[in-house]
Amino acid sequence: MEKVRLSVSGMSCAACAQVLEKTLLKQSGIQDVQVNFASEQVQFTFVDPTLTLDAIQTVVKKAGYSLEANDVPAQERWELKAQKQSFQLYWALFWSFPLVMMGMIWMHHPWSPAISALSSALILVVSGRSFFWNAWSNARMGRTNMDTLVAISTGIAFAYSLFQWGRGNDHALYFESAGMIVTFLTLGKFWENRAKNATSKAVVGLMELISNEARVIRNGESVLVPIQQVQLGDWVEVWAGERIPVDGWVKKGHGWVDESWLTGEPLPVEKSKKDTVLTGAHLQSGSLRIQVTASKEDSVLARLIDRVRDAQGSKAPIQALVDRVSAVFVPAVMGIALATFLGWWAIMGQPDMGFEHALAVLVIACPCALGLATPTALMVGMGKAARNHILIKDALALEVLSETTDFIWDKTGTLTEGKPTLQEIRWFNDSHRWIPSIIGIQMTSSHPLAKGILKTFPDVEPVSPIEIQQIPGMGMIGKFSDATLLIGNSSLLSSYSISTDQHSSEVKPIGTEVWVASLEFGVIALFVFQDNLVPTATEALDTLRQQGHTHHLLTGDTPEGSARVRSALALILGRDKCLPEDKKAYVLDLKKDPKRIVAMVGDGINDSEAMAAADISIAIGTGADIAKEVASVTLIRHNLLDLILAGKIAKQTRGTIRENLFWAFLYNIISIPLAVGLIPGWSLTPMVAGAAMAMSSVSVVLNSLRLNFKS
Amino acid sequence: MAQVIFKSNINCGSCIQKVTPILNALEGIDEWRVDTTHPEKLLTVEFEDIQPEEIVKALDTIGFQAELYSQD
Repeated sequence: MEKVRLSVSGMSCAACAQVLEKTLLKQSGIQDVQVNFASEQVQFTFVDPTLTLDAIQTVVKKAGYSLEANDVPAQERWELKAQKQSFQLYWALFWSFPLVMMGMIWMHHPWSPAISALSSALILVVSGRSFFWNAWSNARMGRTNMDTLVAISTGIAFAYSLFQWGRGNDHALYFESAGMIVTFLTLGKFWENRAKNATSKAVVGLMELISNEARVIRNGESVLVPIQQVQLGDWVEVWAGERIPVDGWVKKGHGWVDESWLTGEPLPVEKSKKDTVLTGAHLQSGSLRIQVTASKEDSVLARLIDRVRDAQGSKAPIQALVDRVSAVFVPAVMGIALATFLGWWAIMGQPDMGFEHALAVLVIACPCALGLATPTALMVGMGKAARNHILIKDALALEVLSETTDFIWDKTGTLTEGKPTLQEIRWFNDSHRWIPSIIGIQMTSSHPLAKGILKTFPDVEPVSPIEIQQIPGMGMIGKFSDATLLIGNSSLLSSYSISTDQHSSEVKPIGTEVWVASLEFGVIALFVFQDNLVPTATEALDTLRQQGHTHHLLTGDTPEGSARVRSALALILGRDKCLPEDKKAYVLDLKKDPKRIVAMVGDGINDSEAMAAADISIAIGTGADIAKEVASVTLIRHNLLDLILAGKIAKQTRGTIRENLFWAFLYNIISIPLAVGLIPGWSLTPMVAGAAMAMSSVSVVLNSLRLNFKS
Repeated sequence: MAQVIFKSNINCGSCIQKVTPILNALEGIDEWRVDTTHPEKLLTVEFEDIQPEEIVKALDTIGFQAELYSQD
């Protein structure tokens, strides 16, 4: 049983992925077939050992795709594709210039047909190749989509024009339509691919958490080796400021580790002997010797990367509106063309006239503005959103955002500010006497809460302790000439038999507590830290609730830690103590109900898996880069009310796309009767075709611009 | 923390590679190194709660011999 993971080329839409998956499932001898459209990957397991990869390749090739070895990194492949696409776009734009000039200004110039034919041919062959190729692959499988429509109409328009030109009929040339349609559509594809490219960057961002090198103890000495050479059971040394390069447990040493990529919690966690540490976590202070317990491929981070990659591609494809329209339109137009041919032949007895009219139907039917309908609305909609501090990545995001039923919220950093701030200080003894000593002790600490205390008393002259001691997991003890001070959690105090019970009953705000006491005088002070709610959280969640949305809270925090946020925002649903995979499981579980459209709002790497699995993901701009790259919507400011505005703009943009599609098809549909020859004395001329094309393009652009003025 | 030195037949770099996983996996061991330039191929181990015999036994499972040389 050999598991294979390969790249696939030739998949142009989510439907291709389904077709390829079906094709491979039918193949005997292989199992567990998974095709991922976004990452362009296929994986399966060989059950029949006699089966070769070549045999599979033959089957795949027959379906119109091709398998490639996985040795080129995904990022590089995407970059190559992006480069190819931008070349195709610039090529098309360059050659459409003479095409437009010949068509609009110098149409009666004797060289006009020749120059138009050449420019149009160059655009079709170089930039439009993929439309023809995809249409051909689809046709062999008995399917049609937008590519079919484009290939047939541009191909026929070009061939028909060549034929007419050859006959000396310079008045029935459609070179310009053919070239311009391809140019507009190339522009649309270019935009679409940019969004797809960004999701792949998310995985690259996660990979950056993996160190390339590790300091391994070899025969008692620490040696820097490439990460691939680190083996199970090796001892690895990590110094303050470095990322932990392996999964394992602490053999020796002590330090504070920032595991926020996994848990989302901003406070570093203390690690000492026997504690587990994970790849990618950041050692903020101290130094650790770690015994490696998982290979590079099996680390928690590596598995997270795999799952993000899978989640991105395994999303149920929501077909783009354009493809849905095309699915009806293409067969209809082909039906009309056929009927025209048969009609002329049967009724009028003129098969040659019928052929000409049938071709004319196909030529006029291709809505040139089709390529403009989505991109222009998106550009205006995204621009409007960006002016309002919202980044929207793709068209689907707009469609889905306006249909969302359930919002899943991450707590720390999304609903809350994400950093604990000093909320309250209570003095149980004379404050002025103790502040200089407290500052003296805290200055030697690297704990983040210590910084919060220091910031509160910026102008105090500190008194340094004679002796200082750090008690891991509890706090610090400082000896002064007149007293011994304890600063830390309540277990530090109780280990010196100082009870905090009578004082903690008075504590109002719930949060992280730092106690100060002295061996001589008992409890002196209590500092309470809290991670505050974002100011707009209440209003934003209430508004969404009124609009009929359901809220869920998923947090890595404990039930006690999340209780305050839950009660403040009336959040009942959801789960506490979630690992990244728990969040994802919750999302997938919700999505099982087909009526629900699930949005995940998060800020951290630990949310990225759930975000990738959700129907739509929204990132907070102050959060991790990876979250922003997975997300289809990013709120640049940490203002949750922007999400409501985003929903509104999404609805408006979606509306505009629909109107645009209507305008794009309208003029062409009106012209079809002319092409069929139903109106005696009128027939299709390039002037009519040109006018239809111009009218629909202008209508679409104007309609898109109107979006700017909607409030 | 105690230290113990064994003489051994851990002769070269590749022998060290072989004993590394075994010695690393013994929880009581804090540090260890082999001096292959010494004629007796001295293995020095710093340990906390492990009996020197256990170290000898563990090395024996992969065919290496170690004999107590000195202990403090």
